Amino acid sequence: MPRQIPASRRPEHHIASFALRCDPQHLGTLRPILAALSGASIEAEDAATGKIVMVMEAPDERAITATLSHIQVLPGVAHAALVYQHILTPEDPAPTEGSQP
Amino acid sequence: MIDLTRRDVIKAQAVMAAAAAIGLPIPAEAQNLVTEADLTQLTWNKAPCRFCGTGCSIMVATKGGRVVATHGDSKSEVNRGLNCVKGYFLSKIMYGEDRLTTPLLRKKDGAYHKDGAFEPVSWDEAFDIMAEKWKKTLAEKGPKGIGMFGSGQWTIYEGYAAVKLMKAGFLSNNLDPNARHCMASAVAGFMRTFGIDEPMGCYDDFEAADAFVLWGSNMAEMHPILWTRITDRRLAHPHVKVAVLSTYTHRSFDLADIPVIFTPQSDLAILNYIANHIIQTGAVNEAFLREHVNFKRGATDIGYGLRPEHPLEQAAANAKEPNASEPMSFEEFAAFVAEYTAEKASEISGVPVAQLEALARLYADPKVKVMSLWTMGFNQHTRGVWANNLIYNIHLLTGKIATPGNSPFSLTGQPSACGTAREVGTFSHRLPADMVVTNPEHRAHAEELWKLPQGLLPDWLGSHAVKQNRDLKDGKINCYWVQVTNNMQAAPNMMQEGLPGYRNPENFIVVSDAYPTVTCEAADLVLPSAMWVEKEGGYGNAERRTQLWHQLVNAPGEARSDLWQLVEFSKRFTTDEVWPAEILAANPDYKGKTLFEVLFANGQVDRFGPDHLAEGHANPEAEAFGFYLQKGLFEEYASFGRGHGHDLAPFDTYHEVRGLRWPVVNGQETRWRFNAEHDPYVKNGKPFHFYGNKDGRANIFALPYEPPAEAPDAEYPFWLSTGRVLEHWHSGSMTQRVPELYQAVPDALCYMHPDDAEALKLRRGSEVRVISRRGEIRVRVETRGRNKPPKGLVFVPWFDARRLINKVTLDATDPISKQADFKKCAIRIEAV
Repeated sequence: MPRQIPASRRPEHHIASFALRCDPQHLGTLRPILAALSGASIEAEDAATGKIVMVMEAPDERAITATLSHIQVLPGVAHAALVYQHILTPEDPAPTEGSQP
Repeated sequence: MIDLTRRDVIKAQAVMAAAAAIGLPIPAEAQNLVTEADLTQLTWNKAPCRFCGTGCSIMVATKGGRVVATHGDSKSEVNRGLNCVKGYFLSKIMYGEDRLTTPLLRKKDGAYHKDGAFEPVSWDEAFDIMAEKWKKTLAEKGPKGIGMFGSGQWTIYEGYAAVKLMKAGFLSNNLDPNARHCMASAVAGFMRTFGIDEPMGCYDDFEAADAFVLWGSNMAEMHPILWTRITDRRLAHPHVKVAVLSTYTHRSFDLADIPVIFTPQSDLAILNYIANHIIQTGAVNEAFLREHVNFKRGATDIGYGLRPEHPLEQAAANAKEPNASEPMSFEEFAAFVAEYTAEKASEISGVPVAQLEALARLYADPKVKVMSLWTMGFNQHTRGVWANNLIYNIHLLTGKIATPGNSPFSLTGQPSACGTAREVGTFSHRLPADMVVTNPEHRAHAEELWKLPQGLLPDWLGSHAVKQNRDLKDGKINCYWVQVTNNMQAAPNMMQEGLPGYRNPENFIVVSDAYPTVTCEAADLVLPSAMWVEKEGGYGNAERRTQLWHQLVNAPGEARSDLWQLVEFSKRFTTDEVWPAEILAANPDYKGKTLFEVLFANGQVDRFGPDHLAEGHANPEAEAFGFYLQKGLFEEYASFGRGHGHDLAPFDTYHEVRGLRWPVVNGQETRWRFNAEHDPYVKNGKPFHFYGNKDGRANIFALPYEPPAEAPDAEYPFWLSTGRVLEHWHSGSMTQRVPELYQAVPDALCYMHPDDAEALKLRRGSEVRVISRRGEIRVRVETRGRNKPPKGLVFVPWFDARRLINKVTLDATDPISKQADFKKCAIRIEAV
């Protein structure tokens, strides 16, 4: 019963959002670092509380989970949580939403 | 690749969900985009996350029979729309390429053979050989010759069905869950202090506390969603303090106002020092003690739960009665802890006096509401029950308990350690709703509710997890069924106790799992299991919250739920084969019935027909058995707790709400038990009532510092501590199949202090042998990771199936809880 780590899979496109809580005093330093992360963007923020919403797109979740882990350990980031994740595949003719979060 | 507009819609959806979860206004652009795009092809349903014990509610989207998207459930009070990185794997966890999809039996020349190779077989052939082996063993050795090992990942229905099949069907109490490895010390601590299991407080305490003290817990990594609530409280309220205690530095220290690194085992001395400080500084809440507390002197020198012939057990004065205690006065208790001065605690623990005093002041200050949190640091401890008792001592001395923000809180590691393993009664000594097999009244009550003959249920203590492995090795248990857990990898001292038992030629080992784990490889028959939303389920989290979900997708191939497996297997046995003749002679109505008929088609479990099923959700169990099995099991199980302090709401309610915290009385959940303002079971006319104990009082225990079973010496100079890492959950049997997780943290590492590495002429990345008196593994050194041990201690996580650290660990347990101590043993390190 060999233990396998799967390598091949269908091409995918991943979209995810993160909710961050930062130390407001660090926002000036953090903003350009976060904005420069590949595939990620700041979509909303509140300077008074240090709350930030980010969205990220990537061909696989490896990039997304690695980026989220990287954000979590940045100085000034108190916590960074995943909120939404969606896996799109080319076979999906009309991938869209139905949830009202 | 993907149509731009649809991508934009999904991105807008993602933004909206995140903004709502964190309390930011939703950007107008996103809102417009989503409301315009109303062409949904996805079906969304709620389900609790199947990873840790936090109990986050997740919205799950399915399309074409697959899970394609998830988001944190904004209606959940637990996670409020957030999710942790493990949540990413919920959509992938069911789709590993090596999913088990058919039963596999070891065969040689077309027949079962212990040394054969795994071959696919039908369910019928699998159950045929199983039933043959079970019947042979039951005939030769009786019920003590069989055993079962389950899980805190079992759904409520599965755990309950297993209890019925093992204890009421096969009449064997050799049933234990893997929660023995994580929660047993917490359970025994609750029972000794309060007489009733599980926390009195709840997660609402996070927003009410002024101070948080983490005793050994790395919540930033292990309970990230609860950590967001502590972080938010700390950042928004500058007076709030966080103390983090551990044997090594980890991510939670980033937020620590009081960071404390202590020598393994010395938490006992620190806890006693805090009690002494409270008494010496006049911070005792005398009115609370007078009304609500007893003092007891616990037995000491109780051994280490090793095999009875071990020299440490032979030398222990009270190894046979570790749970004994006798009454004492407050004055005697004060004298008992008086020796634990700050200086003495500092000497034992290595913690500076100033840090100890800062910590003690948090507890002693009557204006500071304190929440204490712990998991494996306390529980995986040869004095784990004592550690639990000692933390309650501190909260009881000050009366800081059972009120918002004043909360000693035992966290859990598995999604249903509470809801299934504990509440349902899957431990070897338990019955549902905190009842125990050794109490004749409890057995009689269970027999009545189960509609079974009087005197049927066995009264003997079954073998617990560690003893089951010993019994397998010794040939006392010959038929063994493991479900939903990777115990070969998880149990201590694998090479001397675990593996020899599974491969003992006298034994037949069955393992039900979704993936080929180390435990599957050690088995003789492997059964493919459905997982998470491939079946209907229910979990109970760490704050007494019960959550149910519907089946959302089908399991692959011939994989079936553990529930179906248990109930289907029961059809292969008749009462005449497994019950005593005198019981059947006195109760002739039960003669010639199958166990399925007397346990499941008993007029109670089968009372809800298929017309009760929810529309739009498959239910293969109802198809197979002809009734709504899950609802029937739930309602029969709930009859144990209703009116007895464990009340659950009606089954259907839980499919509407995001869980409810028991006891649920008149439709209302209970947030703070034992508190007259919040708990309808408080009936003594006083502000508090610890009704789990007959006298209505909680117990403060006098218990000393005692040394661990094994400590570093000249030959084995390092402490070894084991545990988890954020990216892998427990044994990694699911997370290691997600490629990106595997690549993020591919192999277990030996985290050690750079000075220790240098002294051994090692560098970061050097391969070393980690050697104990029991076994060794090869692993690479990490000196710069986010886990930073002090000098003299190394940390190795246990998720890696190719670097099995439990070849090295010691199978010492807490003598009361029988929970193994995975946090302390002595090792040496050699370069390869």
